[in-house]
Amino acid sequence: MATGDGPAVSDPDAALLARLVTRDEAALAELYDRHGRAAHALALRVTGNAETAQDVVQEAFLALWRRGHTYQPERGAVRGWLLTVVRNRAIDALRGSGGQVARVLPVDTLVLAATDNPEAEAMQAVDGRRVRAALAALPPEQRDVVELAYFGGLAYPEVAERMGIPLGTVKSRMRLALERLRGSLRAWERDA
Amino acid sequence: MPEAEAGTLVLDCDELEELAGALALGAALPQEVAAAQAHLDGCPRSHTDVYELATVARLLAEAPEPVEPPARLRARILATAREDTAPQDAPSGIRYPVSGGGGPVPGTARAPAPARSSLPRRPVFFLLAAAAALAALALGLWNLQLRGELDQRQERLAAQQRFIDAFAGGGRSVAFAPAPGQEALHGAVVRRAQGPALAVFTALPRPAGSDVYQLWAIRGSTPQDLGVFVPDARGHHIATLPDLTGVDAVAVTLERERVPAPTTAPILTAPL
Repeated sequence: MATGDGPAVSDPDAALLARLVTRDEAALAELYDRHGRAAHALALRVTGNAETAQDVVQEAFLALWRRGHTYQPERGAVRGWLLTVVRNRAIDALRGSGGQVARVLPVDTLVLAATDNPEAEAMQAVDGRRVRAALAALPPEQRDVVELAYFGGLAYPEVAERMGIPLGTVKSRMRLALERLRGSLRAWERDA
Repeated sequence: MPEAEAGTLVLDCDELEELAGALALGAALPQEVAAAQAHLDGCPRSHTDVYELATVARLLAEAPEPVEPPARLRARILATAREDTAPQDAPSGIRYPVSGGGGPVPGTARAPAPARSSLPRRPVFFLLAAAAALAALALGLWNLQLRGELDQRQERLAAQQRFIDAFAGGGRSVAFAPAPGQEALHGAVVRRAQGPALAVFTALPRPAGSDVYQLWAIRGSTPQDLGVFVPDARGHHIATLPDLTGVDAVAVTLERERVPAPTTAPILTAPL
């Protein structure tokens, strides 16, 4: 993976994505080489099943292949976009495909343009090791709600039920956890 | 949390902030997401935190320890892409908040039941050169063919409109405007003199696989789910609509399954 264990600050992927319009298989191969490992790790973490994870990754890259031209840079980096597709499809797979309405919406459901905010833009460059460390440093009760929601695909009422705690507590822990993560990641950015 | 008329959830600033973590993690309920979007669209406050926490949440995708996928996965993806001749979806000019939903990429219109070409794939430059060489010859023939097709299409549309008018019963109908590339689709929102409004479709191909059409009432930039349907073998479908007061448009998207928020851009839109 050319970018190592994290996304690049600038986004050379956008140029690769543009080449997909002309069905440039080499561009798809390069995108896979850059992000396939992260996509696979995320799919595996969510689904917990190697075969399902591979299917999810294949679907995500084929989505790029077919619809890469619709990428909107204002919504964030290509890598983030790809990983969002991976996560959504992995959660779909986790919940089954029996026509059930997905109750959980993906992270980018709202129009949350990271590039509106220079600080947020800088945070896009944070690598996986730091995210893992920041997550590990959370108080267990906060880490649990984040993991159940983000990697388990549970809505907050489901998290509340699973953990046997009030809805308001779950919402509060989710917010506190993300604020704490933000603080840790900002501190690393400043130190860097 | 207050409920506005017609059961629409409304969030105030404090409620939005309280929900920010769940929204960022994708763990809020669909109606809360819609209400949050509506609030953000209209609120003079910047609610920076909501956006920043969402940015942080997106970084969680980087958290899993990288795991080397099997080498065969790369080969499988490239082989599947090579064999994939499905046309790329045409971007649509119509935008509203869409969910990833594991489906198509935001801002796209998925073509219904895309036809797979049996033509062998060739380099683009070859196609361009061939097209240029044949263009002069083809133009005259194409004009004749196009005129005939237009006549047939107008006749078909007129018949479909008569079908729709029959439902209106003295009321009025608003035709769905098709997205670029979807001109063959036809339908209308019929506001009858008596009884609930209807969405009447007269030419919708059956979607591929288990895909469904989904109806949306659009208020501002907020879509409200009106249900899913699959037309009959003739491409017909009639859906009863709720009260359309305050609705700016009724739209149709093509989805893999019923979704709480659109994952694709509309293929049909009827401005009201």
